This record gives sequence, C-alpha cells and structure tokens, in this order.
Amino acid sequence: MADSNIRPDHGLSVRMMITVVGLMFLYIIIAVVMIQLGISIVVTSIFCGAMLYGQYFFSGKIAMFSMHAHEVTPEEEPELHKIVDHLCQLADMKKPKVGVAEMDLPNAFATGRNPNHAVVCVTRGIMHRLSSDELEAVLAHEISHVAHRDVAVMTVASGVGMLAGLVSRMAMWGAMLGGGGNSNNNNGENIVLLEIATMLVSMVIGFVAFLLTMSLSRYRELAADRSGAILIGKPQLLASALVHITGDMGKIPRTDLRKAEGMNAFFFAPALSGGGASSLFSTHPSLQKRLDQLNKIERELNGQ
Amino acid sequence: MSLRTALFGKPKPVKPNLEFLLAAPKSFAVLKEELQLVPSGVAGICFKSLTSEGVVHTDEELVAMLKINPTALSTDDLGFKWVIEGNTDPEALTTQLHKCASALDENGLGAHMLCAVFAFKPVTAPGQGSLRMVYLFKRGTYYPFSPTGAESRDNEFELRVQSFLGGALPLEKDLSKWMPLWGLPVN
Repeated sequence: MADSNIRPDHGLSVRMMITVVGLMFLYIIIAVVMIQLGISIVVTSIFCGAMLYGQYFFSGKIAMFSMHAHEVTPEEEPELHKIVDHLCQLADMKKPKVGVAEMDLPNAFATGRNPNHAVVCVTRGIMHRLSSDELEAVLAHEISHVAHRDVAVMTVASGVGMLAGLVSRMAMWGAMLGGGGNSNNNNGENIVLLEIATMLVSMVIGFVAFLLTMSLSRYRELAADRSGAILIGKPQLLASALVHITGDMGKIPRTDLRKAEGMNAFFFAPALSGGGASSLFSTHPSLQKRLDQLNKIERELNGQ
Repeated sequence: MSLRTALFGKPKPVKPNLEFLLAAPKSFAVLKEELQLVPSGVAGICFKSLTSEGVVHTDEELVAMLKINPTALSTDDLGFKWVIEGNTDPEALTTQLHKCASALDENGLGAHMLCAVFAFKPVTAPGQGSLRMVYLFKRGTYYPFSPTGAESRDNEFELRVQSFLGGALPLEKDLSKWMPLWGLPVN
C-alpha cells in the first residue's frame, strides 16, 4: 500500500489472508468435486479460472450496472469532484473515477478491480440528505476501501458462493435425471448417491463461503471507517453521516417525544436486543458497533 | 412484550425510574471540561396530569401536591404539563427536581411522567451548541438533545456529547429513542 498514505491495517491484512486461503481451499474442493463427477480436469480448471477472472475483471462494471450508476465528469458534478480531489490529495493517492447512481436510497460504494480502475460512487439520495462535510466523510470511507484494495478480495470471495451454488445445481440435475432414468444396476444407484452427496457438500461449502465473506465484509467496513475517520480527522462527521443514512430505526428520530408518547399510550415497548444470527449474516457491522468505534477514535484524537 | 400484553394489549404501567435522576450532576464536570458547557440553572419535568385512575388534576391541585410556586407550572401546546425549576446551584436544582418527581410518583402520576430535562449553555457566549440532557423516566436513561431551530437538531454535536458522557451517565443506547422535544420550555 505504498501508493497512498492511508496506513495499512494489519488486522485487515491478516483477515484478508485467512479469507483468501480459506476460499482457495474451497475452490480446490469444488474443483475436486467436479472432477469426481467425471468432468475433465481441463474443463474444470478453465471453468473455475474463467469464473474468477470474469468476476475480477468486470467487478466494477457489474457493480455500477446493478446500482444503475454512471460515471460523472467534473463539469457535471463539480462539488462531488472537488471533495474527491481534496481527499485524494490528503491521502496522496491516484484519483478514482466518480460515479452517481440515480436513486433515492442513501448509499455509497467503491468498486473496481484495483486502484487504477477504481470507481467511488454515491447515490443521489445520499447527496440530498447529507451536508457536504458529511458527504466528505462518507467518500473518505469509500476511498479507504480503494486504498485497502479490499474491493478485489471481496469480489473474488463472493464468487465462491456463486460457484458452489452452480455445482450444487448441476449435481441436483444429475441426481434427478439419474434417479428418473432406468437405473436398476448398483452402479447407477451409486452415482445417484454420489451426486446427492456432492449436492450436500457444495451446499455446505456455499454456506461456509458465505459466512466467511460476510465476516470479512463487516471487518473491512470497520477498517474503512477507521481509516476514513483518521484521514479527515473528524470521526464524528462520519458518525453523523452514518446516523443520517442508516435505516429509519437506526436514525435519531425527528418525531417529538410527546407525540410518540401519545401514540404509544405512554408505554415504551421493551427494546429488542440485537445480535445473534442476524449479525452473523449481515455484510455491515451494526450501526452501534460502528458508532462505538468512531467514538473511540474521537477520544483518541482528543488525546484521552 | 409479554404474552398477556400481546393478547390483551393492556400493558402494565411502567414504574418511573427515579434512581438515575440524581446522577445528573456527574455529567456537569465532563460537559464543562470537554465541551465548555455549564448548567443554565433551569431544569424541568414533563408529565400529563392524569392519574392511573383517570383523575385529571387541576393546576391548583398540582401546585399544592408538589409544593411548588404557581409560576413554575405551565402547559405546552401538546397538552403536557411542565414543572420548571430554577436554581443557580445545579446540585440543589437536581435535588429539587427529584423531590418533585417523587411527589408526582407518590400521587399516582408515575405512569404519566415523561422526562426530566436539564438545560446547558456555553461558558462563553456564543460558544458551540445549546444542549439539553433528557432523562427518560420509563427507561432510566439520558440522551442529548441539541435543537438548532424550530424543527432541526444538531446530530453531530449530540453524538459528540454521547462520546464524552458514556462513563458518567447511563445513556440511552437505542438511538431511535433520542426523540426531540421541539420548542420545549426548558432553556
């Protein structure tokens, strides 16, 4: 990460390594399963390789397409470009492309296979909702994603789940066709059993890959929060932006306490505690976790 | 929500938690040191003058019940009663407020006590932000409220306050409960 002065995050590097190694292991298992199914080694390797490369190479375009985003020039969005220019100067890194998604949902993302092909993108909704200071904090978070190069890893990581799904689908068709066919001999039954086993194994693989990807994703969000907050030196701007854009329940409300009390007939429902399975499956850490971390950074920067 | 509540929709009245009301002064030193904010000398309690038996008290009855100056009692646009107390000694002000809250609870108004509010002002005008610390009687938690206009609030400042007060006060962790009190009479 010599091409920017955003400090490398060691915890992040270690986790990326573990995930990459874990995913490679899973890819190997998938390849072995395919070969076991009687698909030739050459076809299997080409298939796996093409999947990976395609996902890696087109990651930016796929993400931009799925978000209905388009690249914008400095003439079209001078404010946005000014913020990105300023941040890249602060971070001493190459300026990524800038995109806007025409949707009202407040969101932002970074994509592209490496810092040279990176795009940082914001939705129209987030631009309307945030002050320009808050928008800068959000873009600092996205630029940290680019500097950390974790866009590439996430792309590769999310490919495994897809591949495992594909294999299990193939095995299922195999099992159904085989089972439906005329298979009175022992050999036929064995093949059906093998295919059912393959299906189960690849489902488990898909699930494990999914959990790994989600946990890495949550961690890299926290790492980008930290780098972004330190880059602009105002963690509370990012905290405030997060609070402004996170779903209604996570938001500091605008409904008057007295009116809300009238609706609730003076009784607060007990707060449901978060955590458990829902936090295991989510790509982003909880708002509270992110705010807690930003609070900690704020205290550190204030020398406490 | 208990099964009974879910079936009959009639929750038991929540007893107000007065325990942490007296903890308010713990925040004074932190707020002064970190954010240059001092108590403005005004604090208040917001409630509805309806007992659990459905009896509505007149203002005269409330004044007598709480042993307060008649001018301390007011009614806002939303029909809520406010007891506003003033005292230059913030510790004494807290005690005053607690006494009033206890009197409300003892007279069967416990279920209708909404919140207590402490007002803060910058040490040197025009310092940063106006701040109210709101204490929710039902939850026993505090949260910061920093109004900047008729219906706008400074979330960044509120989150800053939260980051400093975590150790001093029981703060409301659920941000969706940080409800504003637009145009509140505690200044």
